[in-house]
Amino acid sequence: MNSNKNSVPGMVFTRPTRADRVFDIVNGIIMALVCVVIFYPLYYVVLASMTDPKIVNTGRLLFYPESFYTAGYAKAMEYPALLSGYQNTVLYTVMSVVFSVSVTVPAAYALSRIDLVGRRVLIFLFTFTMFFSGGLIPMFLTIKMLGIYNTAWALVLPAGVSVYNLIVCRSFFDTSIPLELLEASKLDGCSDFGFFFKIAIPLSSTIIAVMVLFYATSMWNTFFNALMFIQDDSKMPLQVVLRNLVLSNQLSQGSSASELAERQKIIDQLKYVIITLSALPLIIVYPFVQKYFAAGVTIGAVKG
Amino acid sequence: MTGNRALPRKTQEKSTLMRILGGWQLYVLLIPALVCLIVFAYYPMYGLVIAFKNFKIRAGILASPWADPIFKYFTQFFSTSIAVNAIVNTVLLSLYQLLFAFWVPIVFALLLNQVRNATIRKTIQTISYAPYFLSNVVLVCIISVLFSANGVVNNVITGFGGEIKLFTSQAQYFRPLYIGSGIWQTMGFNAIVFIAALVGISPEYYEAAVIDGASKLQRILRIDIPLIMPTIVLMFILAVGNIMTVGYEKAYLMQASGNTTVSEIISTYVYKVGLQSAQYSFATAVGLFNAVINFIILVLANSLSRRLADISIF
Amino acid sequence: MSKKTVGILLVLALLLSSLLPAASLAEDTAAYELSPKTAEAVAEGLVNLDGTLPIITDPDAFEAKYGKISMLFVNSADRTVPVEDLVMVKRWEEDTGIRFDWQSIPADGASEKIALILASGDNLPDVIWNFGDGKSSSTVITYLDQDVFMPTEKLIEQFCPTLVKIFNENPKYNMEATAPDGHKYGFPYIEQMYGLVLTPGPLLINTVWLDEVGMEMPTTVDELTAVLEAFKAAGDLNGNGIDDEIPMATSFGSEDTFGSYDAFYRFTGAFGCEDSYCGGNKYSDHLRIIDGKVVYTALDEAMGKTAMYFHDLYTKGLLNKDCFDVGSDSGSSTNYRNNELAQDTALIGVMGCWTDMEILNNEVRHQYAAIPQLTGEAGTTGNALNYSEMQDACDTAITADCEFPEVVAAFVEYMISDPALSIQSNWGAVGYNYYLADDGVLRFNLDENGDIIPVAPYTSFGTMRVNTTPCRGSMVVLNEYYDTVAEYAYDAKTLLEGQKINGKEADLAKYDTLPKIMLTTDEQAAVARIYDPLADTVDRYVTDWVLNGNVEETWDAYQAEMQAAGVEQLVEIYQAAIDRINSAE
Repeated sequence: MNSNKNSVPGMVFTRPTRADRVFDIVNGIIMALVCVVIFYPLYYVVLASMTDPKIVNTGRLLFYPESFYTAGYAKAMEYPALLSGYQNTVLYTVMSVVFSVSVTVPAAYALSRIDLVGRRVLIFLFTFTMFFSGGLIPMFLTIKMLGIYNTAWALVLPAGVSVYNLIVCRSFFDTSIPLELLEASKLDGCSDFGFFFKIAIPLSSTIIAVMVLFYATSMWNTFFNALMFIQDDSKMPLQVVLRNLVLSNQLSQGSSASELAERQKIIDQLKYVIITLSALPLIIVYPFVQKYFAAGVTIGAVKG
Repeated sequence: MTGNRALPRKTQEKSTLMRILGGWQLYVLLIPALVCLIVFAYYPMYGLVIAFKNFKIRAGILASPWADPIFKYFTQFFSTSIAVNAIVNTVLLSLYQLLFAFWVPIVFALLLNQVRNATIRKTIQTISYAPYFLSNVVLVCIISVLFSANGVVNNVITGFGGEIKLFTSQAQYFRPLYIGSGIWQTMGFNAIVFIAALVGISPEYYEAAVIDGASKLQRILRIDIPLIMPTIVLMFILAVGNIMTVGYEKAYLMQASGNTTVSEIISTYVYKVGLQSAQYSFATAVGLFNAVINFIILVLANSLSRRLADISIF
Repeated sequence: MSKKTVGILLVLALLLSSLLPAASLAEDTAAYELSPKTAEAVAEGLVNLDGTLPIITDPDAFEAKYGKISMLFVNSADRTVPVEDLVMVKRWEEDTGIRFDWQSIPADGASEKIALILASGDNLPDVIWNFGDGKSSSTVITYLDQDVFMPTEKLIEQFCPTLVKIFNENPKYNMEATAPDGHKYGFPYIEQMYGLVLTPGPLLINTVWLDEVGMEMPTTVDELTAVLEAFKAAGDLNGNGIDDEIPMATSFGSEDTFGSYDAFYRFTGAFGCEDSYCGGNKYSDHLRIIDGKVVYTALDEAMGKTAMYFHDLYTKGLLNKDCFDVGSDSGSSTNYRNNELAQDTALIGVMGCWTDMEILNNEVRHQYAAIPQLTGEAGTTGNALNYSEMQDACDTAITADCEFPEVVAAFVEYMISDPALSIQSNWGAVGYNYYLADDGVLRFNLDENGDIIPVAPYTSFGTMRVNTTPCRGSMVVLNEYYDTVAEYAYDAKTLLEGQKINGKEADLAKYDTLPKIMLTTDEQAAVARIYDPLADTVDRYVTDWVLNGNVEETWDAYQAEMQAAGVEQLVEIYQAAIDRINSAE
């Protein structure tokens, strides 16, 4: 929870200056515009997922569901694999977040310590892998060799460390843990482990929340890797299931006109439905993660 | 990120070996990530050698014969009429993206930070973050719904008496649409890093500034920006290091007969080649070329930044 | 050798072959040697290869000793029943005793998955049923010299007499199924429908609108323009008070399988050398054989003239506004097929489409009729496609690891030799898609609108089809089966008639299309690299010309760009392949 930085306890209240008021107004307008521009297409998608496709296809601006049509949702709910898709994705996401965050954050901390010998070499080694990768076939062979093919680990482990996330995380440790804090704790006889677990982590709720978000988003949207490394339909994650849902309704040869009519209507609407179904859970979860974007309490710790 | 802080005298005096042993706990923290790296990134890297081999799938990568001549697949790529154009398109698309899209999340984060009401601020943030979840297929679908000749935007234009603009099929609209939709999609998500950085700024700075009579704008310019500059530079280096990496999916979906002069980028071309016959050597060779260029640019940007601002990745 | 010698040798060979007894093949080791495991199984009486059923006489014992024959299958998303439970699959098992171990992979990313399976080094599946529509031959070629697939021409000769007969009667199929190394791989999938897929869907005109503007069916391209102008000038032709009439609808660059929605290429024949274009055989678009030579027809000046004709239409506002918006996949809402054709009033005057069933409203559909061939300054409209009724040449591909290839070949013969079985394996089982009428012919159960009455729990022909049979494998449906063994596809009747009115026969007779030949691995890779830039350039110039009418100014640049992109190399590759085939015959 961000404290309101513009009023500090104990300060005499001063009227906001004119420059500030203008700024606030302009800022307000910009934010409102941003919200509309971003929100409207999303709102349109949600509307389209429950409006009669004939109306949607005319390309008019929609503001409310002009003609309720929930066949798309009905079709999606009937789809037997949908539930297993959700379950699988939730499982994979939780596993991925737990694994990746617990691997990335300590490593990022270690790399942020300037007294780590070989720091530059290590960072270089990590960064190198962001650019050069062997490709699909060697990865597949590695996965097979490890015996994790067709298991959740085939999705979680290869994505275990995202070097991009690692670098972002490390830069946060760099800027938000002052050296004085480390020195002071060392004087008190604190070990590296102790400092990490007892001091660094509590101070880093923000970056850990960011890491959770990044890894969760990535695993939630995973599609191609699942196609390649998972065999059983029952283990397929949500994105694959949703895509199958759309594909399974595509016009096939030899359909009758009335059936085609139904399918035509549904086919585009299904795309909107699956967006809503796949994005909504994460959007709902996000505010809870936001709570952890808390200001660091470093200053008090050092001064004391 | 290396900081310009002096090491305490005590640590400087120890020998390297002592320092390694003394810091053993840090290495333990590193081990899981290193293992992951070695197993899933370095070990499969031998696959890069496919770019130089005449890949026989049953023989496997190592046993396949070497390509004759060794740079065969590279020359194949460069001898096509499309190669130069595709490279130019890729680079231009990335550069425009850097130019127009890089700073948007930063400005957004700075402005958002000034919104006083916490609930409104969080709502805006949640809304801005939502488009990130749309896959490319969905995004292009939305683009075509909005911008096609019969779409919403053109209906509004004709409503005002204008002429139809062929946004989705003419070359001059491709890049704006591509980058614009990219901004729309990623602004909120990319801003998260900067928002988190802003959160870490101690309120004392603001206190002092307010006492000095600084306006909000001045506080942004004098406090916020300098203090998150390391993060900005870091993100910039990473972005620059991805110049050659433009994924195929979105451009491929947005391609139309009228805009292939600008929409044919390296990755879409390689993807299309692979549709007809699996050409792993060819695709890997092109990918390797991309990676090498990216890496060189990254190293250059990194050392430049280190020299100028003492901010770097390594 | 002199012709006389050859003739004598041929006669001798014929005599000798007719003397060979058609007896138990297991003893005929001089002609063909069985693979070791099969020989063992035959000797033990578990496998029966003399052409009668069942092929595996004791499935349990066979399975106990040798396990199942594994079959990789590219599944389609709309199939809800597991493959091994499909009605037809069960019937095959019952009849032949062969229990396949079906391993299904999704159609998405199937070619990558297959590559991974091949790369993983351990056992290949014994047989691969299909590779995705039309992809069997290109996949086989990609892996041609890598010991992945087993040649099947000897198996066909020995165990598939019906197939031998079909190849003899259709030399074109034989040619298309033979790889450059002289071998055949897998078995063909042939779906003859009186040449249905060899030309685009019909070009239709709204006869009600024609009557209302008081004009006759056009016979030349200029008359067509006049009709379109009349449509535009007439105002509210469909009587709904909204100005939404579209005189002519087309979709430039549409990639549908049979080239029905992009009207441009139909008209090239009226202005010169006709071009052809279809999504189903992308890598042979714009190619024709004229007098034995492969020609890239998109270079002909007919392209420019057709573009000027369309430019005229476009500037007069006679085309649909979104004619350049091609959806990224066939389900896009910006294509007139998914939008205007789905409405309840007639919105379009002239258009092409595949089956008129796509005009969803019954009343609207009956307003349309096919246009006979239009003549232009240098010819007639209409074109033929570079497609083949042998839609896949290498399905049910036997891999090098298979130990019982003869059993698989016998299975294919079982499927092909029974017409009723082939029909059902292709389109769906009796009791679902078909019913057996009293005259012994398989017929469709249609309602008064001509739509099929689905059998619960399925709701359409398509879902019944995929849920009763695996479809597309090595099966053969010939023209002679229609109305003797089964009815012609009910939704294709008007389609075929419409095509004929458009001038189908004349189109097919005009030029030789490019057969669906198999190239060598290197040739195929080279084609894959240069093909798309060429096709993209053609599309781009056509769009530019139609929009801006600048054919004359840019013609030379067009030719130069095409040369630079390698059009000559493409022609040479195909010419070499054609020459190779001709000299082999």
